[in-house]
Amino acid sequence: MSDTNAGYWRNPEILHRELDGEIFLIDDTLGKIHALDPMACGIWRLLEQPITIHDIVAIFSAAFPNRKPKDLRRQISRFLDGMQQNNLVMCAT
Amino acid sequence: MLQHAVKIETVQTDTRRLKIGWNGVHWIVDVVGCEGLFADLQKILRGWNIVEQPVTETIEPAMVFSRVGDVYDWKLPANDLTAEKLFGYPESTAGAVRDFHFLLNGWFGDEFQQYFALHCAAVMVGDGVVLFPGGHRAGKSLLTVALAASGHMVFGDDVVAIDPAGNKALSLGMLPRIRLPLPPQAVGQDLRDFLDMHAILGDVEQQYLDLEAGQLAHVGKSLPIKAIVQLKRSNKAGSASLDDVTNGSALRALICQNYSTGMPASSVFDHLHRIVEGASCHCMTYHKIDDAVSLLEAAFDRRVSDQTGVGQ
Repeated sequence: MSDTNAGYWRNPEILHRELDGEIFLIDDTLGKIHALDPMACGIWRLLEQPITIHDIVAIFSAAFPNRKPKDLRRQISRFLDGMQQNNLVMCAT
Repeated sequence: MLQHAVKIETVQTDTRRLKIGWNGVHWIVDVVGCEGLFADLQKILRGWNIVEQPVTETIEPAMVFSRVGDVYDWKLPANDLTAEKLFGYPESTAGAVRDFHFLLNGWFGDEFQQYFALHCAAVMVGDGVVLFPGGHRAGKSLLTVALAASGHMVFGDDVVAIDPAGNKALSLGMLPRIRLPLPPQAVGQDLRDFLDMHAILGDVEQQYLDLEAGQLAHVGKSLPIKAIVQLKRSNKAGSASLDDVTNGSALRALICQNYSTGMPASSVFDHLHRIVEGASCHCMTYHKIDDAVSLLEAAFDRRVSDQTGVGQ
């Protein structure tokens, strides 16, 4: 499980392209292209500067007041874990 | 001076060897003790250079088929891949041919890295190729065959190569294979008759269709891509609709179906981006195959759209 106080930011080696609101992440090292879904696009935009899960959850909670913060935290943590496993984000505690 | 001579020994077994080539490169397949399969492997290929060769120990085959009891088995000696590890033992000749088909697609991608491979159907409609990126059970193979029945040339029903020079689709020259059973009520009698007439290899799960010259592009034939159509098959009866989608949506659909490994990811992205920019991008929702064919012809085949007044 991710540390909610850890800082996350984009891996600078990952190329980022945007077309019609769709965001694509290109990893020439692993030879992969990732197409982000709308929620992932929102998180990716926030990762332009180092940010904690706690802060991401706060921003999403304000944007989606009907969603439970606990569920958002779980979803965002899972997403960031996947991003980290795929070499797309950096993390520091 | 026998020791200086090149000695090639023919191995006397019940093995038969096929050399399958295109553009100066070939793939060797050995078939041990299954005469029917030896013939059937060749039936699904169009435009390939196929010759039977004597079996020698000096050349290792890329793929070896054999029969084990009631099932087929195969292996790829060079990378230790086997039927059991990949899909399980094929229980029918059509299943064995399907595995061969799948692995030949992979070989093509590995060997011809100037192209990249997409999990897409592709059919020439009018003066260019329409790509149908593969969604799960979206019906692209059946639609492809229906378009062939209506006089359009198939470039592929499952995998198509992309030639980045000129944003072209390149046919791998392989017969289409539809899944069985057919979706109920979605297939009209004319198409059912066409399927019956062209069925060559099949079992309860699948059916290969033997398309004629003009209905299937030979391996290596390429044409510019003019449209990308994502498919949504509806289980509910209703008319077909073709809606515009953003280039970003079409690019996402193509990227999700890309499985090239030989080209840098950024190059693949740039090529796919150029293809999308040069094509019209749509999503088609349909229930009946015949409705889908009519809609595509009205949109992309000038001969039809001139008659109907419908077009791009």
